[in-house]
Amino acid sequence: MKKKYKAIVNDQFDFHLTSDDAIPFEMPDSKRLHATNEHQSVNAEFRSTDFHQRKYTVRINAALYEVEIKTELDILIDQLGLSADVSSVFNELKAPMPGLIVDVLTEAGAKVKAGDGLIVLEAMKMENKLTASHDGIVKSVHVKKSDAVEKGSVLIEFEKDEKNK
Amino acid sequence: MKKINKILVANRGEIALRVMKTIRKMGLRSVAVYSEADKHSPHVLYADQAVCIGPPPSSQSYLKGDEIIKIAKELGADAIHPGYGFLSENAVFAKKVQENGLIFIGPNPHAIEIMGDKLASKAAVKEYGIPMVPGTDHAVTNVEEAIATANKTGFPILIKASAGGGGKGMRVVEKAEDVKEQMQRAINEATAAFGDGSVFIEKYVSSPRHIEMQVLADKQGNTVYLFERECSIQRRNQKVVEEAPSTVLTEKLRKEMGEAAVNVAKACNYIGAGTVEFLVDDSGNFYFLEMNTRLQVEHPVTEFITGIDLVEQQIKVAEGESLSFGQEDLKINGHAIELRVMAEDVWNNFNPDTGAITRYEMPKGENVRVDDGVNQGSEVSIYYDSLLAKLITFGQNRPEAIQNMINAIDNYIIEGVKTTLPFGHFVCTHPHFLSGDFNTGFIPKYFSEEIAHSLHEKNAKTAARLALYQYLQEAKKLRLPVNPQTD
Repeated sequence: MKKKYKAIVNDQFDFHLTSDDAIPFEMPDSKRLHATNEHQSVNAEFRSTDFHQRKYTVRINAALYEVEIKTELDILIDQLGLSADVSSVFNELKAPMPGLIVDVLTEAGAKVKAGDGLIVLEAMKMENKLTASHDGIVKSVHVKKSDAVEKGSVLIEFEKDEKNK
Repeated sequence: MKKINKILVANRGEIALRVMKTIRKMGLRSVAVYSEADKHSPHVLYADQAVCIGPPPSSQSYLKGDEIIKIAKELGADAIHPGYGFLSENAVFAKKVQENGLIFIGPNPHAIEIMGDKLASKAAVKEYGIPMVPGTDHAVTNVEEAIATANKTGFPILIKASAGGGGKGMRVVEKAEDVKEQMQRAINEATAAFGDGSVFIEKYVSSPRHIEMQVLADKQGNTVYLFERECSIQRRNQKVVEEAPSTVLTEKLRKEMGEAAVNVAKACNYIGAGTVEFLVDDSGNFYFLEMNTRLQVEHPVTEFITGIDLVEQQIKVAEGESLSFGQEDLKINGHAIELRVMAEDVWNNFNPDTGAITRYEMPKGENVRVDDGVNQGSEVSIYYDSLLAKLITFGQNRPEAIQNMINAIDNYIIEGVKTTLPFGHFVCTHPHFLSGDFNTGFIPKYFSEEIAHSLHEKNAKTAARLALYQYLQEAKKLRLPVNPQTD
């Protein structure tokens, strides 16, 4: 039986693939790759590769695609909900947009429930309350009132093993 | 008229930097003004002098005309270049600049005023016989009159705000029953947006081409046209890709439109660089739309095909020099295309994106020009419009210019924010763009949200399949089993 894989792209698309779906290519100048798909030449290059995390960033026709490859075992573990390595999405609260911290509603060590308010971020002239996506314990808070933060910066970290409690 | 030695550039981003480059080339000095958000911007670093004028919001910085004039006088600037947007089409500001003994690099305030009002501009150009879209030439408040006009021109009609711009106060009406309601809405919108509720009626030209003529006039009364720019690829009434020349203008039509543009400029005693916008329908009829009394975003395509630096001409004309060339000296050489590189998510309805630019590499090459206002590390903020840069390519002919654009897009690396580069690639490889058979309906027709989504998904799948191959190769190379845990 062929090995099965799941590819998650830009956290938006899921594709179920087998090794037969892999598009072979060559990289003559170690940057731009040569490949054809359905007789069309593919205009692509790798912007980053990370074998251990199985994460790859591919630029196709000037657009960036971040691909995460999951193996059969990963898929199985995910299905059983046994994942020891809780996805970082759940481990951290990141700023969804650049802005100003108006208020911090929690502190290190606090137990929070899904939906609890954690941070109030002002951006685009609006106050946005950032809430907990799941139950957990706050490990550390990285910002304080009136800090300016960039998009994607980590605001709060959660204890990792909380999900398996 | 006094000699200009130092110019304050009352703008930011790519246009401020572009204007300063010509100022330096001419051996003159530049002064930048900037908001707190733009402290580290390229235009601030490039200028000979730079002054912070306030907090990030435009209303507290780039729109503070009086403050800008004060700084210009304090630093001994002779002139103010307004760029585009912000104060560039503000007649009151232009007048104040002059009253303070400074030169406004642009037309006289009167011309700005006339052309800023759609009805006044129609009235001004009327005696020159400029073709206009059939409709009313005065403000309409009476629904009966509106319906009578519509019956004459035929439906659909367009109700437009006289003071309008950017699609505000504009409504398409398909049938007589809807006129009353839509007219009231247009009036309300226009009153709210511009403080002036005058509306007028025009025949609605569906999916026209948007073609504009560049004009240049000196104070001695010489006015020339520097040919057309095709600007039909638009989303939400805003241009994304422009080119010169247009694929549909014959020599005859080009001359007719060019001469009409010169007459529009003459109708308001225009001085400096300006742009006359026209709609062109399927049958090659053209109609006067409006005149933009400033340098246009897409001016570089004209510079490529004529070899003329428009900013240099603006400065010389402002100093009182007469144009050193006449209409017969101007020739179109080759073809140029511009892509507006904006911080937008093209796969998601062109929604603006913000954040830090984590990686920035410009394409290079003889036939490639990048007018940019950002750098690696720049923060794309929520305060200003999303234009990061303009990518312009040139070729001996259109296919060559397009191929150069595709290559330049490939070599333009911007990471950290999403950009319109993928859309540029889409346009430059689209059969209807390649054949020249397109109009303002291009994006709604060929790049609707559904189409964009399925293209995005297709690319994502290709990326996934390439990444899988890379993963399998790496696994083989490291002589590890493909899935170590199962071994």
